[in-house]
Amino acid sequence: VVGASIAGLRAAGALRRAGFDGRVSLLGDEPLGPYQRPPLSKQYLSQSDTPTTPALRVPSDLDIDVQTGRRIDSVDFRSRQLLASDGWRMGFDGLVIATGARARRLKATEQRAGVHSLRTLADAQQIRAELNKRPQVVVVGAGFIGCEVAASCREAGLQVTVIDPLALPLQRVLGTHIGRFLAELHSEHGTRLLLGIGVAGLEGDRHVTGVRLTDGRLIAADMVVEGLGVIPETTWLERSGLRSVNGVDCDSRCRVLGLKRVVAAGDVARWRHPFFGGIRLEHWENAVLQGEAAALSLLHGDAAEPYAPVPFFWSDQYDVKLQLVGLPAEGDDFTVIDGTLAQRKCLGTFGDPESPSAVLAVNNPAAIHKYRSRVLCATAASQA
Amino acid sequence: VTTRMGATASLKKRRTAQSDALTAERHTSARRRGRRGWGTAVALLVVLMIGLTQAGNVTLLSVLTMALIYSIAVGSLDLVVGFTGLLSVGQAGLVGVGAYTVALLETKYALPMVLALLVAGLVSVLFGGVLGLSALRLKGHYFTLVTLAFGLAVPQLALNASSLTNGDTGVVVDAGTFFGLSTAYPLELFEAVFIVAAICFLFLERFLFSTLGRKAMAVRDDELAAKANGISIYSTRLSVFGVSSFLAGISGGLLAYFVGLVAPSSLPFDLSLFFLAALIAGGSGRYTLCFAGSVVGAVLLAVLKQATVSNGSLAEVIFGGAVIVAVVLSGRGIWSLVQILTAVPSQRGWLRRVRLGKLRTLATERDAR
Repeated sequence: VVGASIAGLRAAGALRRAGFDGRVSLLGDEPLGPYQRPPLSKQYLSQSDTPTTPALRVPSDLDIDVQTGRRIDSVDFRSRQLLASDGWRMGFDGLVIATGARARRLKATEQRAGVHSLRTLADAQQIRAELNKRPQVVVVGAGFIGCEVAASCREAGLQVTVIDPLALPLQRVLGTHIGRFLAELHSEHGTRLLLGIGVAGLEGDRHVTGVRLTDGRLIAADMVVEGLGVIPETTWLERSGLRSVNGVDCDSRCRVLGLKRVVAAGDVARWRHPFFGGIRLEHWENAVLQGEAAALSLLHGDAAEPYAPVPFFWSDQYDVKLQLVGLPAEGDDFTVIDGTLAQRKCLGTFGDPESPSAVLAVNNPAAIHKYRSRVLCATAASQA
Repeated sequence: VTTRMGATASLKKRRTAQSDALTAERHTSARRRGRRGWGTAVALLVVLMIGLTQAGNVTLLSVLTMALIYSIAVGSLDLVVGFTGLLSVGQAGLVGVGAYTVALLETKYALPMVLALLVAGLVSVLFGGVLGLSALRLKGHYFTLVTLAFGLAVPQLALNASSLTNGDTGVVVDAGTFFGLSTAYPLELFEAVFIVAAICFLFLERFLFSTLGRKAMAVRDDELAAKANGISIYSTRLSVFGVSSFLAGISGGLLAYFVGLVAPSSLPFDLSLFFLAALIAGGSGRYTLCFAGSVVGAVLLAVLKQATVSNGSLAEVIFGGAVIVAVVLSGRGIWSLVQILTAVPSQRGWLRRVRLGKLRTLATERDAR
């Protein structure tokens, strides 16, 4: 299993639980073993006391060989071997690709001290260390990472500015209705939103001093966090001759197209969802479930179930917990079906309220899961 | 030209024409020649002094650099709006053409900065010429509407010609060198922009008092009278429009170096209107002021844009207020406030006269004197 985060860990565990008794190796390139990523942009930044490393336990009874700090540089698919640049190699019968994604960065010339992306624990530690100096924070990109980092820094009492070329936060994922709600939420908490304007570059010699907007204005900054989304980590596969566009191409059972006994799971995998078609999800829950599904399909082949989850994710911003089940289509209207957005507690649907493409809960964690099957049914019906 | 013009001026325009004729006469006399552009020079020097003394303040330096870049665009607009009497609201489009020209020249051919700026000006003249050839055949509002369309079209064109312009992402501009001044460093960039701006305003001032500039003002004041004196209205306007485009292009080129990236969002749709508002607020078409009003207006624009960064529409509100004040002061702009306030105390019982109507009369009297 290449990639020792949640998808890889779950895949390794599932192999064992399904009765596989051969050798299972979990290879990760980070110095630490598996840990939880979701808290890195949330509690890990906002908590004032030193937070504990959100490690994930690898059950010892599963007999998994965990190797940390092991970067795989390429694969020889013919001799079925993993290769590293230091001469290390390892043969395999079956391979789980779970290398996840890396943060998209501003171009290299913009990199200087005080500029961070947030993907790994090391990133989060660096950001936390700098937050103690109480910097003026500028977050580039109002996506999930951007919004969460902004909220966390604001809760720590720092001056925060969020810049995004779109007119509203998370507009592309959650539409204008929720986008407007989030914009109000952030403004209310004193986060400055600069929307509908791009970033031209960063200023400062060695340490960042400001962010230049495309219209020429300069925003002072001591720390810049890039929330520009992620790129699937497939460089090592491309080097091995496996071409991919936006993730590794898989069939409905997470098997990589054109290869035998190679599966992919998590952020890196783009598979044929029976109802949604070719999609790639960057959600925690998907990594958990797909890791397990990929392991089973590696063991059982066609006898395994096609992987058809209902997409689900959550996001914590200030005192608001957003949870979404399903995938809203572009232009789907948001309709409140319970509570109100103004009360900060509500439940609403995207698309036709009778057969919604997605359901969103605001501070309503108990209610949302009832809608999973309904969303799945609606999606299946719309495909039929 | 001006004396004859004064005689034939229509009743409605007589007062301005006469006062302009008077000032023109005063300024053409050889011994007064040195006084022409003093207002502009003072305004520019104040900006330079603040910039040089506050070089450590990155934000302030950035605002002043932006103000100088804007001032060239606003000055070029003043030439068209203030001195030729054509209401153009597409200046940001020409600025955009210049910015994209520099960006593309820099990335594809690594042209020296001076050359890139000149080419940017020339390409803008090309676009402005095509625009002018058609738009200048229209009168009044119709001309304004065509320039508005042009201003809106340029960012859209850039967005859609993505093979050339990278669409939404924009074109990255590397640092250039202007006679040893690298645009990578804020202070050197400021100095380079100042030099270019100073040259541009010197050029504008010379142009204004050239034959073509006088023709332009004659056309503005009374088309019929100008025509009767053998001035071709169309070709005068077209030439002025071309000169204005050239300067707008240079302003855009500087903007490209300053921002480091040229994208459609560098040219917000309201930028042209902001230029116009800056011009009105600062004072436009004032013979005695030359282009000082443009500089003041541009400084105001840059300061307001930076100051209201977290509250986008506040800039519009304040600017709206400034424009109203400027219009109430008989369209003379902020600069005239200085004039009026210095004029008032010399009058007896000036406290009773501090009513806007009186102020206006005072200003007119003063100008006539």
